[in-house]
Amino acid sequence: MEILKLKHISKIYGERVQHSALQDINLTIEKGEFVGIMGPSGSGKTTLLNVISTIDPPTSGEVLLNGENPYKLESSQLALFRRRKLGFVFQDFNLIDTLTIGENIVLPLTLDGHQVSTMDKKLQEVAQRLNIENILTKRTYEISGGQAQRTAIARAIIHSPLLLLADEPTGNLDSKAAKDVMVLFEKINRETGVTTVMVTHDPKSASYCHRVIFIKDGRFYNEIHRGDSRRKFYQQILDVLSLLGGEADDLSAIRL
Amino acid sequence: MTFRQFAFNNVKRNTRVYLAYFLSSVFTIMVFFSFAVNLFHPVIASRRGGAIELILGQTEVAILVFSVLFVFISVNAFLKVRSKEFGILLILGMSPKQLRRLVFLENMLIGCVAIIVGITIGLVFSKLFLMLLSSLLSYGSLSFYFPVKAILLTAGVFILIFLGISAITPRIIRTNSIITLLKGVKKANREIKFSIIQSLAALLLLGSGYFMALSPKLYDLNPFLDRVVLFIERLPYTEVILTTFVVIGTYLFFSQLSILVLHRLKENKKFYLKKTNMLWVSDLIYRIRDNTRMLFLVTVLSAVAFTAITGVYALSSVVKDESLKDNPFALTFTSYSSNAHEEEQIKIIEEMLDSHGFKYEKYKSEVIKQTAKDNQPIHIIKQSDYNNRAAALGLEQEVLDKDQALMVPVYVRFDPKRDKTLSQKNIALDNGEINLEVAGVAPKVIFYSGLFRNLVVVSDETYEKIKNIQEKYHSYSYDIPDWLNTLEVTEKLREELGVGEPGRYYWSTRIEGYILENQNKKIFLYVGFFLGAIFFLGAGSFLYFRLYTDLNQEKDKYIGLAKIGLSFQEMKRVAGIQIAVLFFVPYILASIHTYFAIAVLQTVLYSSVLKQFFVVIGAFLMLNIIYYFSVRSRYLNYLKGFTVR
Repeated sequence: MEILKLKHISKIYGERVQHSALQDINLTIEKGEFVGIMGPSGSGKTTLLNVISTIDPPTSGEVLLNGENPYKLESSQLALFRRRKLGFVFQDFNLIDTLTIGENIVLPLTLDGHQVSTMDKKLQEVAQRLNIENILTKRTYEISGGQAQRTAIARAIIHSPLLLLADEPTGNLDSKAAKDVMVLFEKINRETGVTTVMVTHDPKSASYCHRVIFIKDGRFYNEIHRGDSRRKFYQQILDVLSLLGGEADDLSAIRL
Repeated sequence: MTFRQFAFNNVKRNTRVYLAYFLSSVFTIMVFFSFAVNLFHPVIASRRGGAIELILGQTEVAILVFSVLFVFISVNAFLKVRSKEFGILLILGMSPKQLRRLVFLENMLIGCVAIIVGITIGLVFSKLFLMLLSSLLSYGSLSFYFPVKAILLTAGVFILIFLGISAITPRIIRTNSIITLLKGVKKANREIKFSIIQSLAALLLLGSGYFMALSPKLYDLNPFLDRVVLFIERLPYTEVILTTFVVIGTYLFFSQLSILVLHRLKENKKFYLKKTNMLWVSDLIYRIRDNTRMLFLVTVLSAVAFTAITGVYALSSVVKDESLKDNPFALTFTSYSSNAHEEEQIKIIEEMLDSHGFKYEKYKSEVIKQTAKDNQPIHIIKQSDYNNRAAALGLEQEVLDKDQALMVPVYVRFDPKRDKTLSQKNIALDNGEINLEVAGVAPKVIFYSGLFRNLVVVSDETYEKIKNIQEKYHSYSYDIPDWLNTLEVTEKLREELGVGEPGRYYWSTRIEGYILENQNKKIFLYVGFFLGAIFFLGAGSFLYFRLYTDLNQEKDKYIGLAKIGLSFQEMKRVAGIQIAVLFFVPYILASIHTYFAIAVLQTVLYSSVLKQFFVVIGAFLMLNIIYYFSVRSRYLNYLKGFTVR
């Protein structure tokens, strides 16, 4: 079943001086897939994710999420769509500082007006899965980056979304925490079957995906599938990236 | 966690952001409530329609208008600080309607708590305010009462304000652009432009506004200037034009002129590239541009506050001088020729003064009234009577020829060159049979302000020749050194003589005018002080909110600078200069505005109020300095926490 279908997506910014961020992108993602999007800086990968996220309408082309074009919904319905069908994980976590970790996680359910008992049940489930049960009553400034990102993931999946979207989820983490987070993404994808789309800079993180799509200068460039070995896949990704013309510095810059 | 709990937690755990807003709301509500307690006090309410009720009522309205403005601006500032948070919530699927509800709930929560706290503190202080008011009004004592009406009015009005503003402001959030909200207000890389023409316009508008304010003082210096001054005088609504000029000029000052000045500083490489100058100058350009409206508002509010306070302070402190000038004698009794009891009445007055142990000097004058060709009354006094009074008032003795006359002003404020009657060159008496040349103008009122319009002094010889006598007054003035204690005597005399009889006699005292003026002006002082205080506090809060809004952005910048080796001392300097500019430039500009506003006020007062101006400005400078240092230290402490790692 197709969860996401992009047809001839283009995005042009600016009025007088036009800059084309995306040109004629076509993409189909099946249910349960874990897809990475890679490309050099300025290639348009975050723009692509924003278009999929329903927060940045494309200049032309059509986005179909579960067979429905979200940009044709009116704003309150669009909010409901995001609330129930999508989950988001960001590079800088974007947790609400005034809430505890637990409250941050149940926020999507709160917005949807669920029963408090349902919230508690789901919170326990998801916290257990992400191994953050013991920090639920803490505040955002009391936890580490890795814990913050796990909280964000918990918040993104507590309502069992159709599609999980992640923008550089490991970008602000050290390599140990980054690895933990990616293992979690893989595990969640495997266990719950949630379709996941992740934008990343980092070949190591990308190597956890089933499939990696490369874009360059706003155009589709290449796509590779993971076989049995993650190590081999990692090497393949590195090869494509060097062909892509991204300099070696550009790749490691993420680990500053 | 339900939605309502979510809103509640948001406020409860975000006290730092909300504290300034909350406290200022509490203060505003408290002041409003205290005035309502005064207004609805049984004693004051029983004198419905009186001047005091009117003044207090209008003050209440002014506080109300300010409160609306204040709450509105504060709420807007908060929404701006929290744009990223709103972006996150929207991306998580909060509908625009839910977001509006969240902001609404938060506002109502803060509003309700502020109303309860404000009224409670107001109740605690209300006894004090009532005592203050009753001592000002000499009403004996205004007893404490439980102000049900005031509580209901305050709660009702502020619930409406918070409801209205909570309902309107969330609509300002641009819920359709999540990306902009998420990225926040990071647009420091745009180029800041300014217009030289508009900068010049700022100078021109401020200059001409100030000139118009000063123009009455500039008369008679230079013929060309005189024509300009007369032109300004003929303009309708001069005050409105003047105020508009200064207000627009102030706006352009912040939006254009200040940017121009900073750009000039930037071009001066020696200055710009020296140590930390580059940092604060370049940053300040963005800050001023981002805060133009706020700086403008703070300046205007401060100017209004300073002017109100200087005005009332000046009025109340010059009241004695003014009474002295209005009534050069402590008591003046004037009798018509038809008054048969003149001598008895004079006896009553003098016996009463004697029996109370007052020492006095009596000055008796005779004044003839006749009507000139243009139907204007002319009053004539002879030289010896005039000199008699002049001696008492410390004026020069006059010696007039038989064809000379001296004009005497009837009001305290007069301009001999522009006053129609005083500037006459010749005077015709007895329908043109006696023609006199005007030799000069007396420097002062010699009876009391308003008595004997068109008063002319002639030589005793000429006086005897006057035939056309419509009325001959006898006027007795008493100089009583201890006049401040004459209230009791005056009241007793009023019982005997009343206020006078039309066409027979009337009398006026200095002490009554003094008491009346004094009371009115004390109320003005009371009211003006409160208005000024809340306006100034409001202005300070706007600055504080604004600094807080920018803090997150600043934090990132300073972390970056600390990494490349900016010491905390240097950071302190950079931030200190910037905060100082934001705090003191509006203060200085507002002080200058006030100086010129006071110059306008000066034209209706007789005494100089420059001293009062400096006292008020100085007091506010102290307040501003305290405010500045406390805000700066909080600000720096916050930055320190992030940078020294």
